Amino acid sequence: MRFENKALQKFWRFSTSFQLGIPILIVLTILIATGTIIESRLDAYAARRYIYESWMMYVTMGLLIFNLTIVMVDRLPWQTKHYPFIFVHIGIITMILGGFVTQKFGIDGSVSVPIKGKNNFVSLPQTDLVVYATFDGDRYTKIFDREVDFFKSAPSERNPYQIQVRDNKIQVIDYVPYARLTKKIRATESAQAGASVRFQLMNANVKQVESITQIRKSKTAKFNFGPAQVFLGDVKRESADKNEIYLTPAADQQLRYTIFHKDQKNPYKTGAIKIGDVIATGWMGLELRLLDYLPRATEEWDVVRSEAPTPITTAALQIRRGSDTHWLVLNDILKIFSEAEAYLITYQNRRLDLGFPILLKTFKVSRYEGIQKAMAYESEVQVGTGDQIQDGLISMNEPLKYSGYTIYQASFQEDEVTHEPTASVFSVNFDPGRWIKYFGALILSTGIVWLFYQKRKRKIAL
Amino acid sequence: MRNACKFILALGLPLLFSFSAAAEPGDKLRYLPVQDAGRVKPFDTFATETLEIIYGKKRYKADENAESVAAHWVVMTWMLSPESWVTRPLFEVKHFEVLKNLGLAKEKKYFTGDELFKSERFANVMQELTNKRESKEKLTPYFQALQRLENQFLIFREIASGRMLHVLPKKDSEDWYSVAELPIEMQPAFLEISKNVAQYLGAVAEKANSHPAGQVLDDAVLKFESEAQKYSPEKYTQVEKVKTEVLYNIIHPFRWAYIFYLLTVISLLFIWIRKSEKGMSLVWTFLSVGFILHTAGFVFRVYLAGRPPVSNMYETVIWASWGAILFSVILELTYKFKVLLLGGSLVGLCALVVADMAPAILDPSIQPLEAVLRSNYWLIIHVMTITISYAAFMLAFGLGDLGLIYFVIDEEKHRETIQKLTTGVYRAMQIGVAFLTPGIILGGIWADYSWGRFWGWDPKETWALIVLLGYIIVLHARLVGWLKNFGTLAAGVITFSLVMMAWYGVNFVLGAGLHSYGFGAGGIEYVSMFVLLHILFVIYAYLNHRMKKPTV
Repeated sequence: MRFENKALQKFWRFSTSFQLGIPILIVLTILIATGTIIESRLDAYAARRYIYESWMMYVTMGLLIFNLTIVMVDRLPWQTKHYPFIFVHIGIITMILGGFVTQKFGIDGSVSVPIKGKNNFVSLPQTDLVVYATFDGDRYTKIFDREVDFFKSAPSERNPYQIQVRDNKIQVIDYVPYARLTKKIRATESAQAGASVRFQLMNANVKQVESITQIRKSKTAKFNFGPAQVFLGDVKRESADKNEIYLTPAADQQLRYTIFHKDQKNPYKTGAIKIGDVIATGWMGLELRLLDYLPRATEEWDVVRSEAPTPITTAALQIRRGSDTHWLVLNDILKIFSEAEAYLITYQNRRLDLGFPILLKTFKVSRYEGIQKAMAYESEVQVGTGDQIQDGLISMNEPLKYSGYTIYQASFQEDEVTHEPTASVFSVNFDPGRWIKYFGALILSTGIVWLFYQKRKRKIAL
Repeated sequence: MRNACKFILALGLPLLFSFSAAAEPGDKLRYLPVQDAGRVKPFDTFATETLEIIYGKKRYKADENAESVAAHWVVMTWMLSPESWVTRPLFEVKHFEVLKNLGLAKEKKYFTGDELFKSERFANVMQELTNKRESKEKLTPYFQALQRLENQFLIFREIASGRMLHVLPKKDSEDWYSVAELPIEMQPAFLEISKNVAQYLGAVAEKANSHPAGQVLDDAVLKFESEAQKYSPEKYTQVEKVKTEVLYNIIHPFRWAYIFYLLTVISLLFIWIRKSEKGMSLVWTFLSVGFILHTAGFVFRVYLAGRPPVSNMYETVIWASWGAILFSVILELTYKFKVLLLGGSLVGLCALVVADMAPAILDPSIQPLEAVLRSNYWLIIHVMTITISYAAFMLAFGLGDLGLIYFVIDEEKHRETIQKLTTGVYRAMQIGVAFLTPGIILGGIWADYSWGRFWGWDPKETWALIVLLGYIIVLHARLVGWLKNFGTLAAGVITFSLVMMAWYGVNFVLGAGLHSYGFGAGGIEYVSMFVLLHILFVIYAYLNHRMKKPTV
């Protein structure tokens, strides 16, 4: 192709030449190599955000498509000898476009289903900040719901993220992508807040310190000690098949205790207890010592910033309301109490309703002989509702397709002690770009085979 | 006819040698089936792998002048009389910082159990390791070294207590009984083995005729096996495979393969330097024998593991060197340049020697597969195509090296050879690209099929793409004339660094991503040195080339 305009002609020559093509490929190579290093230092999500889904990548890909296209156009009218390379170039362009379609319109999330349980929500990577408010302590209304993305532009003290509710007093002032968490309990003045106790359980074999905090006032909270259970709240015995200890807040200084023995309807013992007291439970020599009691307290997270993610780190936000600051952990709830009202704030991965539940009937792990290593795992599931119900078996390398979604066996969760599986984790995916990519791959492969056949005619590399 | 004779002789010799070794009395112990690490294997394999973890070698040598002792005797005596081992330097500790923290001499390599585990310092470093594990952070080389130390300690303790050697299938579960838990009716038979091991080793130590004692020991082992067979008839049927595995261990086909490749290289060099027209039949004989043994070793592993052996670094190196030989043979048959065959057999030789020499880094043991890899179909079509493309790039690298050497020696005089080598490099790169592209696409299809996405920028797949981009840049640059002969040869060497990164680096350096099943540790200093030296060599060759021809 030729242009009369000199500048245009020069630009055209440049676009079709390797002076553009090879630098693009080199830049692309450097970019994606950097991505793998970021993934090694941090994780796959960080690599995606910093490199693979960044503007640099889009520009490079755009230029590559531009170069590949213009090189083909330049060869017009095409002769037979051009077709292999045209196939290769069209194949590459098609695959890149297919990838783009997947990224923009596809869904890729994960679902964890407990054994014998069901779930119809897919957890997606996007995060939402949602605020509920209450004035009477019972009915909550949603007053704020926004998608937030703090990964690449974190809020700070100076530049906070304003949550637009009422008096605009709630702000996000920090974002920690890799937070290590510890729990702490602190006293509060709010009338809505629940109580908190710290106690020690001990006998000849056991010596264990635990704490229980009520989510809100009068809401019973529980600590499960295997054969015995400790409750903080009003006595409300549902069945008599466990040993139970109830600690009921009575005043600012003391609690009432009620002890039940297994298979006995009436309490074994009742009385009052204050900090420092020890009560005998009358069961296996077990004693309970009350170490601390706060009549109004909240349980909050304390965050230590980590440089890189580990399996125990998670993302956390620091929320400020007035002079108080609190940590809000990803997929957790933060309660903020004030004199008149209370807020519930959540920062969570978006949950997409599939429109049908996935029911996990059974889950099997087969292991290599004599060791714990998993050889294969499979989930027997039922998906769908009404007359659209479908039974299926999902295992590694054998997904299930249902109503446009493909459900894959991703992993499973197991009990830390017994190694018995407790839940199956599926990845659920909807990919409108799939066939574009496959089509591109087909064209590309055809082109390469053709190209190779053509090259064979020459004897010596020149 | 003469060639045929040579061929048979050459093939027969190693086999003959190995069978005679296998017939030694007292060797039946090696064939005893044991359950370990997810499969049933012969005691021979178990003992060798265990000794490698603890001592770092396949045989034990008490000191410089002592005769080395085979692993199965060493491990057996750990169990029979552990107290006689705690004062011997048995545990290999190499990591500088670990030695420092344990307060041990840095110039020593082997330490006794007492030196290592009795000190309070050992408890301290183990606590350090536990803390690190609890933080769930990635283990640095220091902690990996501590992990090995912990392993050495636990394994020795478990073997000494008889809890680690599982010799009898349980009737009601997949697990086997360890020696310590053997049912009462089976105990006398095993005791008989123990007793006779002691007697046999006693006879050997006294330099008496050990054959009768060996015979008695063999009988004891056979008696135990037949009683085990009676105890649990169905589960004790894998014995045949176990026998084959010992044969594989004894023959060690890959070592014989590289010996024959070495012979190929030497004879080819001789012919090449002398510019002789004769002798190619000898070269082809050596190469064929080497290649057949190489293939045989591969077939052994396919049979033993029940899958294509391309699931870890060691197996892919073996497979890629096989491919490099194959491609060089194809190119040689096409072009008859001889030098291409030389390059190919050199590359195959070096790769096999490296695989054989570094068991701590390239683990030759047969390990159970991760669940997601348990698809022979995909393993064959995806992993094998990708790694065979690495074979072609490896060949391009070897030929590139050779070509640059000629450039350095005298580029005018060897113009013709250089042209031939450049052709080889270019063709090998084309072969590589022709396998890598479909390999990547097939990988995408497998990933889509089993993980639900075609492309996810996982480090392993990204680096495979980087390799492809690298070679595509080189091929295009050659096509438009940016790269002449020197450039193409140099590119063959330099671009292979990308392959090293994709192949070794992602698993051993980056250690991230979904392809985690191939991860390993160690050897980074050697690989970096290898890559660096080659880059320096290319720079030197370039400067040399520029000085001779200032106009180009």
